[in-house]
Amino acid sequence: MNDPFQLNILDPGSTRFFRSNGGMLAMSAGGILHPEVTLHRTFPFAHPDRYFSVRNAKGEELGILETLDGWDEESRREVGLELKLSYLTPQVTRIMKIRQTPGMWIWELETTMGSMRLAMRNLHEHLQNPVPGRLLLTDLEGNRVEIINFRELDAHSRKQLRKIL
Amino acid sequence: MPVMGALQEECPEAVGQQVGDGRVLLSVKSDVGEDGERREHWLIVTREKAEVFDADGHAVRSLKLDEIREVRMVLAVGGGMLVADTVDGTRVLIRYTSVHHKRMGFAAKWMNAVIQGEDLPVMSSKDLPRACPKCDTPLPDGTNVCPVCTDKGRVISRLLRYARPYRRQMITAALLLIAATLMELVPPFMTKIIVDDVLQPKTAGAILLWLVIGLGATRLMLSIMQTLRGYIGVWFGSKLMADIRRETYEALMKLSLSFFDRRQTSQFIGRINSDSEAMRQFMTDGVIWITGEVLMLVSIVATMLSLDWRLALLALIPTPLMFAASVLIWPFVRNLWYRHWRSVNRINVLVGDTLQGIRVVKAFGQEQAERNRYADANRDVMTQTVRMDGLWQGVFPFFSLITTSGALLVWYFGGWNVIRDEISLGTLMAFISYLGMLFGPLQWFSQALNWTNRALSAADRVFEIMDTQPDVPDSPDAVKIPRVEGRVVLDRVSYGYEKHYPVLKNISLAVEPGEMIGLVGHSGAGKSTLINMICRFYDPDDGSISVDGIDLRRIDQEDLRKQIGVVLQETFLFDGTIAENIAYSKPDATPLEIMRAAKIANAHDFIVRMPDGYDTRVGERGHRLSGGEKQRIAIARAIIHDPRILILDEATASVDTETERQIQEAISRLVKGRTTFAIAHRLSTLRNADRLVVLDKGKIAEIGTHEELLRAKGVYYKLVQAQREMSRIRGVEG
Repeated sequence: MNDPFQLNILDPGSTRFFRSNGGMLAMSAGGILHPEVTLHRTFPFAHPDRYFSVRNAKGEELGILETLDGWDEESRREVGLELKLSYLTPQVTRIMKIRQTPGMWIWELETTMGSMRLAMRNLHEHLQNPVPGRLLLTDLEGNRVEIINFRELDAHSRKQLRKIL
Repeated sequence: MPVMGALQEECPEAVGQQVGDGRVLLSVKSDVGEDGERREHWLIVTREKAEVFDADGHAVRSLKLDEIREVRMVLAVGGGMLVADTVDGTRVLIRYTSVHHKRMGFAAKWMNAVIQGEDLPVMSSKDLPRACPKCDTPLPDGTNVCPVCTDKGRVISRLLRYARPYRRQMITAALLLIAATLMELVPPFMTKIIVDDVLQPKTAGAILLWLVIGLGATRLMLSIMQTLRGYIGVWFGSKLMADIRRETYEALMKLSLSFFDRRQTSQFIGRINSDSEAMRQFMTDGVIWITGEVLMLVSIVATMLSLDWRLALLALIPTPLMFAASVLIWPFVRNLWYRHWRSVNRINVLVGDTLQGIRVVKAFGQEQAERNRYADANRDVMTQTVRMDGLWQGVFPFFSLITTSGALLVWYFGGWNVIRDEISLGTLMAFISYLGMLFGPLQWFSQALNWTNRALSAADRVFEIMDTQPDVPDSPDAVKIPRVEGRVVLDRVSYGYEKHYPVLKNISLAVEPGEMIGLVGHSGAGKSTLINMICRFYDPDDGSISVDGIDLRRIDQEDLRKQIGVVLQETFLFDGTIAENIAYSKPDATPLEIMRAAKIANAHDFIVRMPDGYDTRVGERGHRLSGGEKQRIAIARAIIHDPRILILDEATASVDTETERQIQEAISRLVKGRTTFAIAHRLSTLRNADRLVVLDKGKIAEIGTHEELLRAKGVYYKLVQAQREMSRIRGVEG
């Protein structure tokens, strides 16, 4: 067993990921099968495509998947899919309108999950700017949407954003 | 036959045909496909099977109910999935985004009840996100008033409501204002008379002197009235501001702990003041000035029209431009103010943070980094200020330009008229003076824009605090309770700080009056949460807690807190004397009572040894006490409070062994006859507990006395072993 106080970096030589019959992501590492594993981005904003924490159903860390380079085709595909399934935060593709009514900010958005309407009581608690260019919106219900890079949005969306940024 | 209260969302016909009429017991829609793309799927549960269909009615998954052992939710970021643990492994049922959280949570609960053969849960309003029926905006918790649909003018009318108690003063101020306004119109008219009737005919004499005296008298009256009105304005403004501040603070005090958990609290220190100041400025300067200036505008225009209507119209030609410009910049100004406020708020939060953590900053030598962080935020405030004030630097001159262009027209055409003798020189001069006065109100107009916007955005924030419903509201039928026995019963309590992420799961525990319960478990096991639930800082998501058979939610909170005393790890002493701190919950305690409490708490001796005794100032600016001393004062505070239910949260964690012994002694006297819940890191300190409750990952793992649990060799045994190991190592090192 590894030292519990050391990070266990997963080795592409002895580890692989695949999908179980039940549709869960599974991992076999050094001959041990983990039938249900979850992936967590450790640096979702700073390094979204690296350093994934792989955990079992109990939430215990099995290891760190440092990068996808050097892994077999199937592992890469399934890890990619799992990331997509584990990070369901809709991404904004277009801002239709940002409107302020008394006591409420309403965002009308087009996202990767369809059109949405977010209502927030204020901006200073519901709008975060974790890294330059990226915006994280949280509505009253706790639903989150992301703007990956507001500089890459279309002109209309940027104009809407300029009203508040 | 549909089961009553179950969740049945309409599914496409194709799905309905696949399943068969009337066989659907539960139907829930979701929005994520197996490939992570947006696809609609339906989870349909019948008596035999749980199936997932796509929109075309194709079955994606199908599981027999008798194969399923448990259905659970696996959380992801922004959504999650329902999975079924079956005899041959775990299977994904359906994936969803967070909008479906509540319904999926219900579906899981419902399916588990079906599988276990338990009573089926009934869909309640708590399981569904609530939205305004008119506009679909989610409703804030605890209210049925949709903030979007409410009246647009609400903020202003609500603001003005604060002025209502001061109607008399406001009316007086307004009357003075009207009088002053009318009087301001007199001097130019006097000038006209002096020019036309005295200077031009060159008939000097007594009349000139009288006219000048008259002019002086009006000026004097004007000054007196302005002073008076100004004074009333200041007086009423301060009162108003005090009212707003008080209400905001009261609203803050009313909010539940969870509101503060989620926020950096030092920001409120500045917010209460600056926001109420902005609101005050609008109400006193704003409202009175605006009314005054509008009045002025009307009277000047009327006088000008009566002097010469053609010239008056010429003078007014450019003014509509100004109104148009104002309407155009209005939305900008409000946003600019909010942006400005946000940058100031950020800097306040930063300063609050750094100063609270100044020890850490110094210890790690990070002063430079903090200076840089501040410099960044400071630069941002500067940029926003430049934008904000810069806008006005552009707007003011523009407005003056517009208004002075009217004056040019008057000079030119009026001048011609004088030369042609169509009007007198005096009229032209009076006209020019009036025109000069007219520009005043028009420029004030832009200032009014500024004030109004600033006040509105401040009011928005203040009203937000006032409108936030506490998460643990006093129920309308809350009962007063007399002194309780102290029987505490937890019945299947579940709670999570983030909904759907339970920290406590299905906790049931009955505690007899006077019993001492030791709560044991790893950090994060839910010990402190359990205690917070008993204090009713939070309400359970599921299940109930009762004291003497009455549900906590039905007890008047003030009454409840009277029965509960707490001694926490981090003792907080307020700015004041030791005596005041001990008598915090009982300000009328006599000196003898205070000393008695301190004596029981093992605090009396060290307090008396201090030069200022019980009058020693502690807290922010006061005497520095050691951790153990503070702790014993806190125990004395709990003793004088004389609660029936006592909560000790790591009361001896941060002190040395000798002090711990003294505190232990004090505590053992304190717990006598009271229902006590104690959390202690050092398990040895819980030896006196009647029963130990071992929590593991939010569930009760074991209950029993110290000896029983040691014999059982379970979780507790391991914890004790681990601690012995640790103290053995320490012993060697020491």
